[in-house]
Amino acid sequence: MKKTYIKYDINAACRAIMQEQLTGLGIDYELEELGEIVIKKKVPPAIFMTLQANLKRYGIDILDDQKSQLIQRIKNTIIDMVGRDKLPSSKISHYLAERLQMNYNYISAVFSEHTHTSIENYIILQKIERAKKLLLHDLSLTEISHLLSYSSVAHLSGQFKKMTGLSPSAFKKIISERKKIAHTN
Amino acid sequence: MAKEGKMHIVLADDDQDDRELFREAIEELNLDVELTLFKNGDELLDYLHDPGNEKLPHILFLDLNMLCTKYDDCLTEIRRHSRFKDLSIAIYSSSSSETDVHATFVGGANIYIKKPNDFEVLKQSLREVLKINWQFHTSGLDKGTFLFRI
Repeated sequence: MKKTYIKYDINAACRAIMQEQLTGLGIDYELEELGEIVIKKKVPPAIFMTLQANLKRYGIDILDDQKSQLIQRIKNTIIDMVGRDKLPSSKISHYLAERLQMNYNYISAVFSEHTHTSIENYIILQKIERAKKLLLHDLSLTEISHLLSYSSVAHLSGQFKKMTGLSPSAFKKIISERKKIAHTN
Repeated sequence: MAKEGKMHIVLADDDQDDRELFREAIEELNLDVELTLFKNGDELLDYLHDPGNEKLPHILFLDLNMLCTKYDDCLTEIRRHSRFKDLSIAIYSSSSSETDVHATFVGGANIYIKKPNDFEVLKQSLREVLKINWQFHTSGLDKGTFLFRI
């Protein structure tokens, strides 16, 4: 048995699935950035339900109420921001307000009210999730701290420890030992 | 929190006092939760393996030294099944030995909580754990690299 690895672009995969499904059901649509879709003509409820069920198999949910849509837009914007090669140099609150075209205090309040976390903590969470992936791709802490705009390796390690309770090296050791076990079984 | 739904929590612990304390701590957090308690590993596994039970909990707290007669080790038994691949497992243990912590993480645990002696600390730890676990659940983050020690 041979194991190979795949590299994937989640955004492209999602767009391809959406195009396939929407076209397949004869829905007139336009795909915009960050998970937004404009449906141009009214879709009969039965077709909408089929679409919902089809997308569910891929782990895609259609959000219909406005607050959950807004929260998802905030999350998508943060994920997009953290996934870039360089984080924005402007203040993050300004950056989000500009991209979402909304007052930051409002965005921040809605987010905290509905998610069990705050925008600030959510950004840290997403940054550390990206740091984990980069660590497992054998990037050094210095390289990762540059990519994620940390002022120092100490700052990155500190946030990593806060979010996981582990040092980056202890984290890496656990994951690599798990992989070894999976290989031998 | 109504928008993102109710949190379903399961605890399996063979110590009655610990179960009571856990329940009280969870209740005092005032979150929208449903808590299910089991007295041993056998009861827990019967529940998880029940084909009528389609919805898995959002998080499972597992006492490390709990009795389990049918299997050597609950954690290994649960992780053996791909159906439970994305189930968050929190080890809830009186041990803080580095060997135990490391071994359970390698064995597939996501979270390791040392049972605190102080009730307020317990509440605070549970709040932290539930909050971070909820983010992994609602944002579809990678459970394969979800590790948290408190």
